[in-house]
Amino acid sequence: MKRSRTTRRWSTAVLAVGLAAGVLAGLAAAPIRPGPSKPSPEKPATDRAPAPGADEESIRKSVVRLVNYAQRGDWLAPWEVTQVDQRSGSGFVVEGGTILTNAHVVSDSRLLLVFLDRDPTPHPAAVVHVAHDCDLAMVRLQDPAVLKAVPALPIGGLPRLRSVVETFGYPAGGTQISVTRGVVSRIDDQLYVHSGVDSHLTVQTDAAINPGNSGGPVVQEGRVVGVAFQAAGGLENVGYMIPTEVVRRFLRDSADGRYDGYPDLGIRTAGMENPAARRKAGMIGSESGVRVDAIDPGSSADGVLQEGDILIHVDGRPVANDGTVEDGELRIPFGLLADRRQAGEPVPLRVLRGGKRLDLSVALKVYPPYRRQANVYDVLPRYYVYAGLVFVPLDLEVAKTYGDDWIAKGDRPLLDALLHQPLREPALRLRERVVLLRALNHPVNGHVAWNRYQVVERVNGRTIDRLEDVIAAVESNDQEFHVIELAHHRRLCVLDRRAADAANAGILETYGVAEDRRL
Amino acid sequence: MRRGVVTGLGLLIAAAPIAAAESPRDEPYPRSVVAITVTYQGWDEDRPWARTRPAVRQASAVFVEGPWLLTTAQVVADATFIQADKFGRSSRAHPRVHFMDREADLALLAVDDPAFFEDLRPAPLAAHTPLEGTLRSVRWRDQQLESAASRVKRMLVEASSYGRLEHPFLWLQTDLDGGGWAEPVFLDGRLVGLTVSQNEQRARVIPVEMLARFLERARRPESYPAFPILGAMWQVNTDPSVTAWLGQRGNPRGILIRQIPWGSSGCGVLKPWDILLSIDGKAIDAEGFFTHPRYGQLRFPAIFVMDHVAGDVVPVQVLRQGQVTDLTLTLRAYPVETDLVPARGGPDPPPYLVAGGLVFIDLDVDYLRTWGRDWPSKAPLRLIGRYHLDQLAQTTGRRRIVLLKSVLPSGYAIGYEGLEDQPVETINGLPIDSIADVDDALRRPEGEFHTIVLSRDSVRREIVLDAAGLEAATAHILEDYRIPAAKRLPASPLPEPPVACPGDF
Repeated sequence: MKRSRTTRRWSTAVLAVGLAAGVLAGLAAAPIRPGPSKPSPEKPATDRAPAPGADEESIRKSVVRLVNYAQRGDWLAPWEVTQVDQRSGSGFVVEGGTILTNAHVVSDSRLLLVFLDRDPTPHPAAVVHVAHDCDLAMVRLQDPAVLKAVPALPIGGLPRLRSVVETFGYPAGGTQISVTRGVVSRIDDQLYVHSGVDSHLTVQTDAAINPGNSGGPVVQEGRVVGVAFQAAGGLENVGYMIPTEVVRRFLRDSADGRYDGYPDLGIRTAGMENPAARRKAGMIGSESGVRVDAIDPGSSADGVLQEGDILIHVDGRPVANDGTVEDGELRIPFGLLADRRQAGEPVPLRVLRGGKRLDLSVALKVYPPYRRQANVYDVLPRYYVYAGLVFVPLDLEVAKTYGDDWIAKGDRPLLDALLHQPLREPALRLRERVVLLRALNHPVNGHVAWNRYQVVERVNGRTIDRLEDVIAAVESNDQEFHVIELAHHRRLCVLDRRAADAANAGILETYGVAEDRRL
Repeated sequence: MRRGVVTGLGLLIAAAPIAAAESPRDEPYPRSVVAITVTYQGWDEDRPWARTRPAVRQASAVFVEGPWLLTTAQVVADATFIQADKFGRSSRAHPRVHFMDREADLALLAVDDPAFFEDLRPAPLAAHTPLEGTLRSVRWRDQQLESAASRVKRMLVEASSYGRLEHPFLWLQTDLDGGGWAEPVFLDGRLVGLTVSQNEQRARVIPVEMLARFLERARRPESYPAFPILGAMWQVNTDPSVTAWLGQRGNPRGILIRQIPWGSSGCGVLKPWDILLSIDGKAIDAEGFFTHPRYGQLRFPAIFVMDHVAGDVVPVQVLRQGQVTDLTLTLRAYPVETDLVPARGGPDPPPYLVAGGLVFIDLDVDYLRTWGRDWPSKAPLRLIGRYHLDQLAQTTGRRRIVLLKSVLPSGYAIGYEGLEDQPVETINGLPIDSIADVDDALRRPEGEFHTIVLSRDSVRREIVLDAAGLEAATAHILEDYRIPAAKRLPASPLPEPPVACPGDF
């Protein structure tokens, strides 16, 4: 079919999202932009594989198998949970007696068991820190003494292109360790499919990475140079690992006992490849940069940058007209420089604004509104049920209730409200849109004309900016009717308040809804 | 668009005749039904300066008093050459389109040589659409006349194939295979309808009431009054809580008006949350039906098309703020020119403009259809979201969405080559509402530059081009990409509505 370019980008993301829920590796990755590599500052890289023997024996002792009995919320019946799902993955012991693995190995866990090398004893474990935005997690055994005799794997640097690496893990559900060998074939930024929205530096290798390898170490010269985490759907011999700069950032971020997550500049930029555009912006000589097209309200850049600014330096490095910066031997998108920082740290920027070059500093913040478009883990859905009408916040999980092919099947106005409207009306980023998801049928709501996947604008005259507003508007109403105004086409639902109040408890009981809300 | 699956020409040709008349010239049907072969060529929506490949349709027409040949508009759409054959033999008659109502999907063809009609007999029109009995669906195939039995299923008010006009259709269960190409339908030798589409054995037929009204008026195209439509967005009013909230006592009745587009029949008169209780003295129930004396329960748009023409003033009754209120509506045709995203571009070729390799077009449904049969789910969300939410939301200041459709790669527009399907907001500070606005704005550079601002949900907000180099770059690009002309502006500006008629959308 012709002209599916725009949709194709989405369908790749869908595949990624769809697989991320259940499969440990073997996830589809969506390539985004070409990128670079950087020689390891910690340790010189090499193109020699570790010699088999004592080293390998010691590495395999440090590699563990994790079995996770997981259970997720049910976003279509948000008071329910799904059945328990058993997954397995890999991990490795690091300094401090903890185990490093992928977030997707341990997410939504009800029981987490760790098996050591050649030891059938299950060791109960708990997640200490989880970073869904970079697919990493730290796990601790209930009995830390178990790991006393297990050597911690040292963490190395970025492997060079074409250098040989070995992957250790427990792919395909096996209980015996598997070691595969390959070379580093590319280093660039890629979408991390676990969250579905975050891109970070990624190392590609042709060493086999299969479901179950996830979380296992990728090793070079006895040091971990990456954490195996996803594979590319449709491509052969392409596996991805999380490089150690991302791992170290995770460890630093969580060192204070709390993982804050990746901060974001909160801007959208466009390249300045066209000479006329550069001339109009007042760029001189070989000056280069990107245009700030949009700034999200309340984000790091809000109040510092302005729309139309030309971003010419980030963190002291000149930004090219395509938005990349030099990083060692290669080029990376400038956004990855912010990636390396922690929330709260400043990033120096130089912009060209109205012909003047200004040195500015942006204090980096995590920007929670972006998470509405990300996969959700470890938390159960928020909801409110009143008179059989089910209200939920609009997020990606709601869109995914249309099924794997949600991008094609979902109601266009709802998907527009989730994905596009915040671009057109940035102020909406600060509002939580609420969706009338469905009706639990009962005579009191039986005539409601619009009761599926409708974005709610107002309830009893109150503008809805978060789920709690619906509850407040319903519970504070002493009028004869509840009036629910929907966001699209001036659609309307009206409930007789007394009849709705009288029916409410019975509907909850009939449909097995133990609690009318989770906030 | 045709409803349902429309059988292709291949199947049509393969279909065997069902009943062949023994002596065609003595029978009524062979003397009234002619076969037409239409060579047509549309416009390539992706390369709007070019036409699509020529193709051929085989269809039917029926001879009516005039003399005219009556057929459907979609059969002769984009026609470059029409040939009419009678008695299963090829003739040298080449009808031309005399008049076409695309909303009603009907067309009247003229044949300049009067001798063509000499051995034909105009089909008499039935007084009414029959609701029972065995009808005959008739067409020529392989030099023989097929006359297939068709049985009436029901009469339904639905949207027409092309546009938004709603009128009664007769649904038939037919023995004809692969119909839907304007086959006339008869009962006892009288014309009762014209088939517009067929899905397996279910045929959708424009009933004779519509044909008669069209014929009455189409003879004088210069004063043709269009079929009118309400044009407001409404919902059923079956929810007793809603009606109670709106102050209606007793059982719910009437329909609930939600949005009234600019330029529609209800504009300036109807208001959101009016309950429309009656039209022209006929009570409307809560699901939008009225009782027709002959056809029973029909949806209310039938009142407009069966009893009125555009321009008529019709009394209506609404419940507004709890009070029954008498109002009058001035009926208007479906105002395609007042759609922000029109259902079709109309008979004119699509306007476009190429400047420095940037290709600008209007967003319309013909363009969205280029994403294929599943365009409502396949077309980019950026465009389809606007279609769903804003297709009728035109205002006097916002009449069309202009797209940067694509960028033909060149050194001049380097850096912009990947852009496609991005809505345009302004050019050189001027709001862009039509291709003509693009043409105008590009004559007024801001200093050395042209600045094109795209909508906020585009992948890029601003395009800057070198003003001095534009003309030469455009000339090169036209030559390189074999484009015959840099622009095709709309034949005429969008007409203003007849009176000040603000919408409430």
